[in-house]
Amino acid sequence: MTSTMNQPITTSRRSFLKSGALVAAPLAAVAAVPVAALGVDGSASRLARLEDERAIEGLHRQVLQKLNGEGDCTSLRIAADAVQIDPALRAIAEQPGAERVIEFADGGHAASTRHLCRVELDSHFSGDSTLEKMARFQGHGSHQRAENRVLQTDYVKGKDGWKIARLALA
Amino acid sequence: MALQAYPDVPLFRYGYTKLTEAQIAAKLPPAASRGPTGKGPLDGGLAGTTLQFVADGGSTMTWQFRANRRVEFNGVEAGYGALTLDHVTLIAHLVPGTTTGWAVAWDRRSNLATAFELWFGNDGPAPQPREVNRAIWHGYVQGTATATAERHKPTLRLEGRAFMWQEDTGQRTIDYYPSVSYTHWVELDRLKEGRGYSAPADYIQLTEDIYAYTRTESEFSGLMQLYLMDVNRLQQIGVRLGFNGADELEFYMFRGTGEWLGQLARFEKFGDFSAEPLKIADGKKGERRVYRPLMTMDKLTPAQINTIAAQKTEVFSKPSPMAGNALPTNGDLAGKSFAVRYDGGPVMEYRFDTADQLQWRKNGVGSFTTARYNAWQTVPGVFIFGHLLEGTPDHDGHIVVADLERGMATAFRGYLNTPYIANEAGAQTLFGKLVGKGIPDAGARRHQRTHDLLGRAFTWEYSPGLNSMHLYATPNTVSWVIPTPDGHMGTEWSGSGDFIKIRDQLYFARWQEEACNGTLGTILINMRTMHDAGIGYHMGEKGGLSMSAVAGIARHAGKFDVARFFAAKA
Repeated sequence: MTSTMNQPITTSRRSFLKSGALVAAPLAAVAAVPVAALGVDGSASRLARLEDERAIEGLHRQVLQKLNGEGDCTSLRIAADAVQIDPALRAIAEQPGAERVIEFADGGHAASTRHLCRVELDSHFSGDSTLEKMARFQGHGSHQRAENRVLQTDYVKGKDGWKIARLALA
Repeated sequence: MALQAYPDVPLFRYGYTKLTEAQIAAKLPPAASRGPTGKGPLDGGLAGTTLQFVADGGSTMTWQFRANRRVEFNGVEAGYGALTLDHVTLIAHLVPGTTTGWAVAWDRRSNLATAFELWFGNDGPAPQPREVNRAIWHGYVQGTATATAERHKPTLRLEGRAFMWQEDTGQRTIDYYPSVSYTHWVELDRLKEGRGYSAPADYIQLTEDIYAYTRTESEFSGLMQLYLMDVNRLQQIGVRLGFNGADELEFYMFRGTGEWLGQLARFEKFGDFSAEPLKIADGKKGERRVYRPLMTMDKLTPAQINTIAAQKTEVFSKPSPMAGNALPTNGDLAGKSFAVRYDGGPVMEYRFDTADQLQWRKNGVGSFTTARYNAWQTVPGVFIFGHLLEGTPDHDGHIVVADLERGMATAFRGYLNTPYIANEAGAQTLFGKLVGKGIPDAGARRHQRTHDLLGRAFTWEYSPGLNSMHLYATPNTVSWVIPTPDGHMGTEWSGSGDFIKIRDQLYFARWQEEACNGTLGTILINMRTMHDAGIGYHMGEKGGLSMSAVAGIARHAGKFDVARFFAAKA
């Protein structure tokens, strides 16, 4: 199953998640392989960096699972307002083949990522504006759409490991 | 209030009598016996003809026409009327002893026909017995010609068009067809103020040139206007049936001539000619989606709105789907202060503390009051901002367009406690000048009302999936139409409007959702960017007293040539 840039997502939520899982799978593999090769130069700092990358990517996968599930990212974030996601978000999956870059800062204690994602949004027009009322009257009280968005995430490393400092869809 | 056949108040303010079915039945016999009247001669050429109509679905109806405009239908003799438009004859009659009637459009060339079953009373989808119900049957007439599989059919071919029709009665009506299921009409002679109103409609294609149209004045008198029009030759024949505001039965036929007023863009995908986007699957006979806003809106008392406002007042406190495509708010007023001197109105002094907090004082009395506001600057130097005037007895809200470069300001003052429904927003337009440091003195110059928007239609994309089209139908009417997801224009309503020119291609407009949700909508339309910035003012049981952003991205759907009909009202 593929989800291309211009193709609307018309799948069920379950199949959409399957698409996301397929995309996410190579991330773990990418992170795992270099760890085994570390003995070549024995660099402790490189080992630490790769472990950080693996941890962040693991955190990223957990976030996607949470956002595609019940949406509660409490255990992954440092503050209540760290995760700012459109309430209309129904499903999110990384774009296949999209380049991933983790940028570190603050001496390796902070990082940020940008992931090109395909999101499904489901807006419900439940307000009491006349337009929303008339839309509901016509049987058009909600609107589903799929869009390409960028998931921007900032991470911080604390004593309990990496957490999300800020996450938003741009 | 004395009964008036055609009220001198807006129709949504008129108290139409709740006629009972028995009262209606008592009023129909003379017309059923006589048939419809007509200003001009009605056709008598059907005498001796038997018209056997086979409706899709199997029903067969037979009309036997006799001399002196008599017809036998279902074993009962009635008076009938008929008019012919080229090769299509429209026949109309009531059925004696019932509250029913028929109108039949018979294409005598193809032998296709459409029958409109019409009835008053409780046995139909209309909530009031006086509102004409209709069920539409397509089929063919058994006769010498062979009917094909073709049928008359609902159509979108009229969507977006408008005509002015002048009947032989002398009545002139602008009929806008901005939707496939609704219509907007402006009676130029019988009704005061030149207002437009919206109503459910049927649009049926008979031939390439000839169409049938019905308008049921639901929520008002319940009258039905039904006509056939030849849009190529601009000829019309029709029948009017129902009870006017004086509860008098109107049942007459007419001929008319038309003027083509223009065509709006349609927004369906190319190739989509479907015409019944709002059809109710398995609906009852005659059932359709009829928007009944007066029936469904909150109706609160002054005491209730005071209580609700005290408990819940929301001023730009949360995102609104009505402003998903809004420009960011603008903080350039922060640190500024000025006064607006409204002609014949208050002097409002402002100190803008921050990007969303101001202080106001009215007429120099007392101390300043702090209020939350939002502002947008859609053209350099021109701001629209809004705030509530806490403590005013009618919960006033001011939505102001201030042109700091030209020293002029115009406000729409929203207020509650109108004499009609307490939570319905009233509106007043205030013209004034700005007085403040660095602001030029406008002298006697003011923003002016304009007809620049008259006849125009814009679509507004507020948020993904939440769209509307405005039709500025008359100098004092805004109509709004709700599109379906596939671009058909659907249900429609309308209310009082006002239109102010701020600068070239920059207009400040408002609409009042009277007898319909009660909102005051205000927008500053920038036709250069095709984006607006606006503010809604609303009181409701659920949302409390609120002021919130309203903004969308526009498409220009078109402009009807109607200014000449309103020249005297400029």
